[in-house]
Amino acid sequence: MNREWWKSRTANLLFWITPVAFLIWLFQEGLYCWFIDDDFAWLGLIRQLNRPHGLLRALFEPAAQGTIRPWSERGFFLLFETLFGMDDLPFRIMAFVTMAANILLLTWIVRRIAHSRLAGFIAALCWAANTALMTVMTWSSAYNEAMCACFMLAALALLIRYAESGRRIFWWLQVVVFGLGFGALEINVVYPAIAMAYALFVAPREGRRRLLLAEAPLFAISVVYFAIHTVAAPVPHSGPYAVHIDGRVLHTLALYGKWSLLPVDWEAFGHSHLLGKLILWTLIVAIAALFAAEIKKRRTTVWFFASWYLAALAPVLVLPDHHTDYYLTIPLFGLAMLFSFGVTCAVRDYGKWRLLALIPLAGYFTGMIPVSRSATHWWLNKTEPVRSLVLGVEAAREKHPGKAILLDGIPGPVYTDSIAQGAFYPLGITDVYLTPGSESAITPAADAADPDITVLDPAAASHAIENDRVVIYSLSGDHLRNVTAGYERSAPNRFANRLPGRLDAGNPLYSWLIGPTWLAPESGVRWMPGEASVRLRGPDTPGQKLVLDGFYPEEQLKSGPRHLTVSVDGVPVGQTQINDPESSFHRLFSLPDSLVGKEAVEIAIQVTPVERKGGQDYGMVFGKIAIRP
Amino acid sequence: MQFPNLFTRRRLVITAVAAALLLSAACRGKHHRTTVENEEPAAAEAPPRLASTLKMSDPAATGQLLKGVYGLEGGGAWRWTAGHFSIALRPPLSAAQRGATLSLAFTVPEVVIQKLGKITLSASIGATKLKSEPCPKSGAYTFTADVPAELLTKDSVTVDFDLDKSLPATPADQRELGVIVTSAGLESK
Repeated sequence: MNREWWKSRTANLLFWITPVAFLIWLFQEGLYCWFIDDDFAWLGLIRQLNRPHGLLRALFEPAAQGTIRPWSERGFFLLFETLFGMDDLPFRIMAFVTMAANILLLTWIVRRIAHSRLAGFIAALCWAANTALMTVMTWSSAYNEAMCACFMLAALALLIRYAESGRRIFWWLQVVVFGLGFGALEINVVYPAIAMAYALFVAPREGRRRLLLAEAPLFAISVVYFAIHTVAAPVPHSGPYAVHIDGRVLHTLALYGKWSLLPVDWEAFGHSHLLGKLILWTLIVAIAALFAAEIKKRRTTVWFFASWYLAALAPVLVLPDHHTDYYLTIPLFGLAMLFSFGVTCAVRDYGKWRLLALIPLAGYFTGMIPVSRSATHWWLNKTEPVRSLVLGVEAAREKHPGKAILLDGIPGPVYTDSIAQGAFYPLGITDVYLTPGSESAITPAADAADPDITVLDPAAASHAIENDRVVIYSLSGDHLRNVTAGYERSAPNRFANRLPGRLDAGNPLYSWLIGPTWLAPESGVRWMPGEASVRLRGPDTPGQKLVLDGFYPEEQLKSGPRHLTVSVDGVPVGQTQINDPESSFHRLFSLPDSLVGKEAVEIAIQVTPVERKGGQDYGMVFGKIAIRP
Repeated sequence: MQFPNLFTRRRLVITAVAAALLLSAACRGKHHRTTVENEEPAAAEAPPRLASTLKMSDPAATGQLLKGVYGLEGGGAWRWTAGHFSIALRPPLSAAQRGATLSLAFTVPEVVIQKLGKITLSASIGATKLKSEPCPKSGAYTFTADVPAELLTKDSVTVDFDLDKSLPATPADQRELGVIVTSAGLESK
């Protein structure tokens, strides 16, 4: 082992390690980003395992947006939460390890395709630097992109080995890896197109026909997957994930094209508009020049890179109402390969002009690196208060086990990223509410929790404080601060001494307004038997309506509809019917003007028929009951 | 320079071991990443006071269980009582004006009904009897009783609960046993 041997080994090691180290350096703060937003829905799965077929349903039941990702979302969260609890670090380490594996695979593939170590090295650096990777590097719910990328790159690497060696085992391994990729992300469906593009544009002419024939069955697998997926989770026709195949596809393509070359938040992070334009156009011109040169030389490899980019982007081009830069994670492999190939060609073919190729590359890194670092830091700062809030509530629950927790002064963004997404559900804590008035800081969202449920009514808050049923905390830096004493002192001045205009039947803090027949609350809702009543403040103005929000198990509704009769202070205000499949219902009843201004009214609800189990009648499940405009 | 073959078994094993080591570096259990220490009022600033509502699972409840309520059982969720037991509660803020509702959540075990038949639970404050409620069968009950405002004018009130029958002590369990309680409280009207 002489000096040359050591130099060679060191250079070899640096060749592989440098891009990985660059990725870790760039997004290092992503290791410490806590759970946020959708993470809480996945973390809550562990509490649903005791349902019938709980594990199967947790892994394979389609999500609201019609996705089925058993390995990369459900399996990932279930396994890591089982092993490590609510500790974010193992989740983040796994994301970093998977992304590092992607870098190594990319380096290996480009080295093979371009026959250049430099190309592999530059491709890895270009992909690692792109700001679109920030979401995957900081948010555990985006792990699906990292995992799917790994499956697709591994499948392509196996295809290359098959093409080079002709050994059938590599083809079979490719099929297995490709099949597993469907459990990570739907975009995996485009892999056969990428494999076909490899066979057409990269593979040697003499082996091309054999490869094309070998890859054809993969299309059949994608078609079968697509058919099964469409049946299990029909394609949405409304909402942000609605599919539209029209002229907007080109607009979406242009948008993602721009975001691929210049970070979406370039100007938001204080960078010059003019410099941004310069970088963008330099890169566009460089790409156009590369294509022109390659077409002139009748070389086809660049078409493989373009195919990768377009094929991986195609599934999201039909979502004109939902644009997000992290969808670029996988398409960007194509762009990174293209850049590295362009630099390599310039170095190889253009003599003294080869240094010109460094200009677009320098422009790309100038655009990406600072924003990638800033955006990662921004995300870390966004998750820190969520961590303080959620773990602070857990500590508060341990300190005050018998009391509900009221949170005061929670900023709107923190609410949106945590409480609105059911952040306390994974911890099994259900009785956490916001102080009255907090609703002014909340931006209502379709997929978020109902503020009427999360924000306590002033009278209910006053009653809970008087009866020592709550502890009150506010967010204070990296922890919560117990402000119960101060809040109690000011409570009589804050709240008028009158009954609430709304209640949440499942919230024990409203129990004093609930008649004697109701059953005990469970999981945030409460069953009534055949007849039940509640007390509320009468309508403030004429025209206000009685709102009833409830639920009835779907399987029991199949035996026939339920009839609901409602009266207020003995005056019938309406009847309604709850039918299958309307298991969650929302009903409005007009109220007579004679009730306006009454300090208290009694709302009586009657349900027929009722289900009788274990000597107890079960009529209907209620959540919110309110009188409002 | 030799280009490495990514598919050798040795490299795959090394990669897997490295990944496992990285993962195990994140210690499982409670540590500074998984816990937050909240800012609670200092003892001098907020002297301990009686609670209006007691969960038996709350270790701090012990000081208010004056007589006839035994230690925590069932994983720290409930306590057995004797035939007579007393609990101190703090009247809620406005209870002295509006009165309050006393509640006791408890379970009558099957063994009690089998050996004693129907039992009756009564509650009183001082000399004032509040209510008696029969418990004819085993299961969960919530005893509630109205408490007049004039009984709730002090900082603390002692509620006495009486069962008309209870299981006597035995050599195996030398406690007199009544019912299993999970919570008790006063709530203003």
